[in-house]
Amino acid sequence: MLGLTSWGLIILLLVILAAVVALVVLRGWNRLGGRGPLALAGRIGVMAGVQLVIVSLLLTAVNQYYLFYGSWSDLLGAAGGKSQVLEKPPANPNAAAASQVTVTSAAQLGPGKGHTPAKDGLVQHLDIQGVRTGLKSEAYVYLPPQYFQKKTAAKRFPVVLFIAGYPAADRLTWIDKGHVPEEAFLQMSAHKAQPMIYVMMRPTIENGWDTECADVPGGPQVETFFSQDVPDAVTSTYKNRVARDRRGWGLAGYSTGGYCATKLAMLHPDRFSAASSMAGHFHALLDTTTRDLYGKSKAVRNSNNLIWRLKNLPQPPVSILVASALSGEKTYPSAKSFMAAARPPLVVAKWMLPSGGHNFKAFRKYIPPTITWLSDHLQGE
Amino acid sequence: MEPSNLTFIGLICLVAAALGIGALWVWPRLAGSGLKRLGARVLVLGASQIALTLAITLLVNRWFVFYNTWDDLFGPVRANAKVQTVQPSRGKEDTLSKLVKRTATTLGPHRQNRPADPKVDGRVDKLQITGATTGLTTEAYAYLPAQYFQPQNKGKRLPVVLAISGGAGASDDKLAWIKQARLPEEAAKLNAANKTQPVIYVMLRSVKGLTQVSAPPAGTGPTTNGPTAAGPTANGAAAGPTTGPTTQSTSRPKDGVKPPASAGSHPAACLNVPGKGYGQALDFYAQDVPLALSDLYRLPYDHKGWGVLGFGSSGQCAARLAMTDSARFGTAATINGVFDLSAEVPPGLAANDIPGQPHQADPFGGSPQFRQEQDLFWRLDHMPPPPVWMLVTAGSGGRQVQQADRFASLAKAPLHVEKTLPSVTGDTLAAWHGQIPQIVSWLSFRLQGE
Repeated sequence: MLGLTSWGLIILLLVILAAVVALVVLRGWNRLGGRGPLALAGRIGVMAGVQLVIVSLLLTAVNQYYLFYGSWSDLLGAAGGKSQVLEKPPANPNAAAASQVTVTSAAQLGPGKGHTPAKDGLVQHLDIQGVRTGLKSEAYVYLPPQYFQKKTAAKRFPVVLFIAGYPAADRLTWIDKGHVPEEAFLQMSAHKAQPMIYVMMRPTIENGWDTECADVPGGPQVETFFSQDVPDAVTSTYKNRVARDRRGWGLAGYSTGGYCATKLAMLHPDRFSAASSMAGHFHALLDTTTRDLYGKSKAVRNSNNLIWRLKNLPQPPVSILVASALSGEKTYPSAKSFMAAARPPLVVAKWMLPSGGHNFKAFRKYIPPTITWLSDHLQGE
Repeated sequence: MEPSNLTFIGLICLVAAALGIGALWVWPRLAGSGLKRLGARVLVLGASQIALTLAITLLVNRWFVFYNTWDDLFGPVRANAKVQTVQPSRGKEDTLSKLVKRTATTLGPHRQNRPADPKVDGRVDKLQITGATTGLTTEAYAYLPAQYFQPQNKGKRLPVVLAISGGAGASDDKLAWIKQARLPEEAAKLNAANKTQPVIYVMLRSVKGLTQVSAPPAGTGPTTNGPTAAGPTANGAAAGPTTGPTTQSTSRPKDGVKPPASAGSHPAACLNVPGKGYGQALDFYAQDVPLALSDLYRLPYDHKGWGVLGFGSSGQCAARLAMTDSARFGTAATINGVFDLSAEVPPGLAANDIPGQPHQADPFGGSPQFRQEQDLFWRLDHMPPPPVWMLVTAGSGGRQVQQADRFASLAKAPLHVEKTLPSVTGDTLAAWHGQIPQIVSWLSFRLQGE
């Protein structure tokens, strides 16, 4: 079967379109040229049919570019599914006492293709299996040039965890579309940002399920994965080279990833001190792609609603950057209520586009200010 | 004419409709053969289809707001804007130090007839810790061993244990660990005899000893979410957890702001109660206390340097902390604990004991799934085991022994449970005083300083 994102599918649709048009123009036209209602219905049917093929072609092309859905099963999965998939873990007497990480090179994805790490920095690919949650995910890590330089060999760098939007079927979304390593390199070269370690991830733990970085009652513990397993994995992979306390750990994300970043910082101020939400929402989503994340409980859902938290719980001692657009950004009203409810010691700053939709073009504009703002708020050692 | 402009979309829709209907109407006239007619057909079909596609695309774009302006679609990938402050900053994150007040005491172990010297005797500090994220406050005592003060250890970070008392009466007094269990004294003795490494003990009370401070959570106006509802915050800067418990009763009414109804209440269980602005006791121990202590003392960064010890009714609390926050606590010990969820939350118990209020909804937000996930036995049976070393101690006979057996039998690597059943009878810390050296030695053996 042709893949949802394959060129084959696009070519197939193009061929169908050409065939249908040729058939209509060359042969069918005369037959449907009559005056009766049957002929009229036929003409309407042909017009609608051609339009359907065009729309399918457009959707496929747009999806191939943005990779909303990576495969047919992703597409079907998005239509809904069970929210409890927790299986009894198999007994493993040799279970490791730490999250498992496999590091592979992805140098070609970084600035200068990683030929000279001490000059360009280096991109690596990590496969992470969380010891506490059993969840598996991958990360692309950009290590700054200073990581490889002799004079900074003893330095511990701040770490920023970038979480993409849902579903981000494009595993390289932060690199292909966000250009994070290039942008980080650029800001660093211009002395607008300090060297930091960028850990780029996706929020999607299971295909077709938008878990909103929640510890799902009876389901995957995604919040625990990002707040405990991932920092542990990063710390153990880059031994003695990453910041050890909260002042050196930050988060960022766009759309759902923005919600994740803010939530993780607010709920785990002992681990993270700053987060940037790029076009993120602040309330707790509940729809067919999230399935039930809150154990069917309004109370549990409230605890995941960041605006509700600001109004009902003490303000957490973290800094948040709200990057959004005044017009055209559907999450802006949510961001506005969040900002209105913020009080010290929570510190909120904003970076506003006059206009920008919920698309990667706008998200990309939020990335440079996110990098410089995080750099201003984080400390290496 | 921006792509999200309704007039523009309407216009395109009208054009599309006109072209579509036009195509249907003109159709019969273009029938027949000849290149000219063929060309006209292609033109009519193409124009109407393009118009229809454009109309549909614009409508979808308007619905999902992908591109709001043409500039969003075709403009540059960079934008110039400035970071603006939303609310006044109070010096970034360094307000944390106000969350804990420290006073040195003479409660520590000391030699007779000699002035106390921290470099020789260690020191016991009295702390008032106010939770940054929970709004809970408590008095605590920290025992810092002599090595903490010795200049040769300046760069060292000694391991730290949160010791949480439990049970009834003197066993859960704020001085229970010092007066009943004589924890600092025993730790100092073993340390002096080189049988253990120096470890910092922060001695806390059970959830009954935590008090909800009355500073209302900040917000834009009256909230209607249950008993925490507070009036409009007249002075936003004064809100939040940094308002100490001493200023609450005097300054609040003057602002015309009623303290939240939960003020002065105590959490009923060592849990985070969902959907409530109070009763986040688990987060107090897991987040707030480590956050406050790390700001005050030189403490380890890694979870291998952090332990938690729970006595009696707080045994389950210590186990829960290690199981849910193993990135913070790598080592745990429980004394005479009961791990059944029903022991933490007896049936009918409310989320908080708010005076003058009827019992609140159940502490699990009415969710059976959420409730199940708080059950430690269920977690052991259904979830990946956390990477924790745990010592489970129970006295001879009784329910605690069965519970210890069950807990140990369900544990799988990387959770390692060691069980000891000494012949201790009685459920007071004083009765368990004799076991403190063994427990302190075990903790010292497992913990790693930096």
